[in-house]
Amino acid sequence: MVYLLFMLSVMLVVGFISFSSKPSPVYGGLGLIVSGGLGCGIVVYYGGSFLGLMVFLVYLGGMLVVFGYTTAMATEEYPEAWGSNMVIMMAMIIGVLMELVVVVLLVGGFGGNYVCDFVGSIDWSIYSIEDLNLVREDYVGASSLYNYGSWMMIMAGWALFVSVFIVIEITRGR
Amino acid sequence: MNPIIFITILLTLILGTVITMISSNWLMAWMGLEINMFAIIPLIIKQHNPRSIEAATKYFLTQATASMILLLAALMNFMYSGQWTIMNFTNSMPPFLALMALTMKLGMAPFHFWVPEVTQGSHLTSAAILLTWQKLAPLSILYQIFPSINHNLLLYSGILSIILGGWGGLNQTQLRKILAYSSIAHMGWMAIIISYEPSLMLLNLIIYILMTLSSFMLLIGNSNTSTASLAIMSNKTPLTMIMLMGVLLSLGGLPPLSGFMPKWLIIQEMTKNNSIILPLIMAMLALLNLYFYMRLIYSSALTMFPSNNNMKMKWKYTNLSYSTLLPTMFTLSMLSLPLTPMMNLLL
Amino acid sequence: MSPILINMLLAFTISLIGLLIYRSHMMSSLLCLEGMMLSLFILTSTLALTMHFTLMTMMPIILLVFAACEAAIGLSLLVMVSNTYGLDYVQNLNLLQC
Repeated sequence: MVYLLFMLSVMLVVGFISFSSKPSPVYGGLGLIVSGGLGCGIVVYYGGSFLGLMVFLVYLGGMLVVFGYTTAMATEEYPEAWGSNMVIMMAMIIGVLMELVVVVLLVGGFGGNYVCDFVGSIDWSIYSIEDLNLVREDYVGASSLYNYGSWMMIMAGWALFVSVFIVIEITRGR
Repeated sequence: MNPIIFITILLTLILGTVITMISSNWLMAWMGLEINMFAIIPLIIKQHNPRSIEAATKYFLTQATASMILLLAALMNFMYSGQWTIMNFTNSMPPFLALMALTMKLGMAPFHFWVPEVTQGSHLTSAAILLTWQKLAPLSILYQIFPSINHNLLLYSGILSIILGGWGGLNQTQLRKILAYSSIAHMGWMAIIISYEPSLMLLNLIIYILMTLSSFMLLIGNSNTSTASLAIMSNKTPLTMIMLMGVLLSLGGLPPLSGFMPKWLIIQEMTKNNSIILPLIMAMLALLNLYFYMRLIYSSALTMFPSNNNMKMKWKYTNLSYSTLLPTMFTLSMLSLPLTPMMNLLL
Repeated sequence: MSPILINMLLAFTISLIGLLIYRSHMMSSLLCLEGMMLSLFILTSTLALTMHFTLMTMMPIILLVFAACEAAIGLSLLVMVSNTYGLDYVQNLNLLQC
């Protein structure tokens, strides 16, 4: 189970290489979706099931639909895959080689602190016997956003509200 | 643009800078920078032409990258020290990343290429906001974290900005690009002095903002964008051209004018710290800046170019509206050198 | 530093390099920005969950909000660029070069 997390992160880096070597945006969006799902897996493994679900829903449901729509609007007829351009191919190969070097370094005795990192990775909760307090860690973030971080929430809401106006102003034309 | 939307966006711009300046938490400072960056985009793109769209796109890409790097620096700082407060870093990697992000945001030397292009593509008022107000938020962060940044890196970045800000402007004829290069050079002076005496950086920032705003106010009033259009202005309004001469000489830092004050104090402070060669190089490189200001002055105030009749009649088609603040700004940006002994009261 | 953190920093660096060496589509650059945001999100949430900073878990949510704003503004700029030039190649943005 320890190596599952490590394999997830390695696959996430390979997904990042796949879209940052810049093939056509169609395949790049595919790579971003895959690596978003893998990142969701990593966060869920650490016990943040709410955060993982949120990033997956926001990425897949919200942003990538818009990304796909915009790609479809501005795309060309024959999209460029990874094997079709020498530069893309070389960037992909170099990135995978970098990741392989990191994997070999980490597995081959360099990273000796697996134990202390993976102790708290179960789905932990805080129980209190007397008054039955039960706190899940990642829900606390969302609930404290309404309490301690109310100014932050107001700021984030204001940023979303203004960005609607900004987008309309940008795309309005003359 | 609809006035309500315009006011909302302008207030959001001010709000972002103020949040960054008053916050002591990296996350809040980052949020302020992001809000500020979102709000300046529609101001750049106010006139919808291909140049402004390109300028907004370049500004967006560079600033978004810079704020990502800044957030990464804050996160690595959190990883090493376990706190989010904007304080001195404990490790060597996060201040390097933060310096990279802040130079990218300020348009200092290794990352300065976006400044002239974005300034040239935007409207004159947006260019004025871009060169003055947008410097406040990153400089306030730099003001808080400068003791832990590598001193030599700041000096290299500053001296490189002075060189490139002087050198790049030599070949330009567009006024906004010239002012952008002058902004790069002034940022270099600020970056050099901040590790010796940070209050002098504030003084230099205030004087720089006054001078740049007053020259931009004059250019907005006449809607001048190139040296050629400035050359026929001495027919129309000779007195304001003489004022522009004063402001430009003050930007270059000539002695009786107020732009001399920060340069004088900076050179004095650095020679007090036994650094002789560096202020000598800086003072000599300021001559490059002075050269292209002198070229502007020569074509605007010192000569009367032969021009055909249509060009003299420019006043018929543009409404001449100077800002009300213009005399105050002119006086402050030219004649505040005698206030120098009071500076230790202010700063 | 744990291997997960090293891999996240490597992912951030790879997408930063992919953004800086922009060559073809502006869409790919925006995807690289989103990738940087995604790696920062995973980094913050894993840090908050392993170090048990319970109040820091509100930070990834705010990060997602700002990622959404940034994506929206970047996409609207992309729409304007592709309306102007017909394509979204970054090489086309050369009107203002000095």
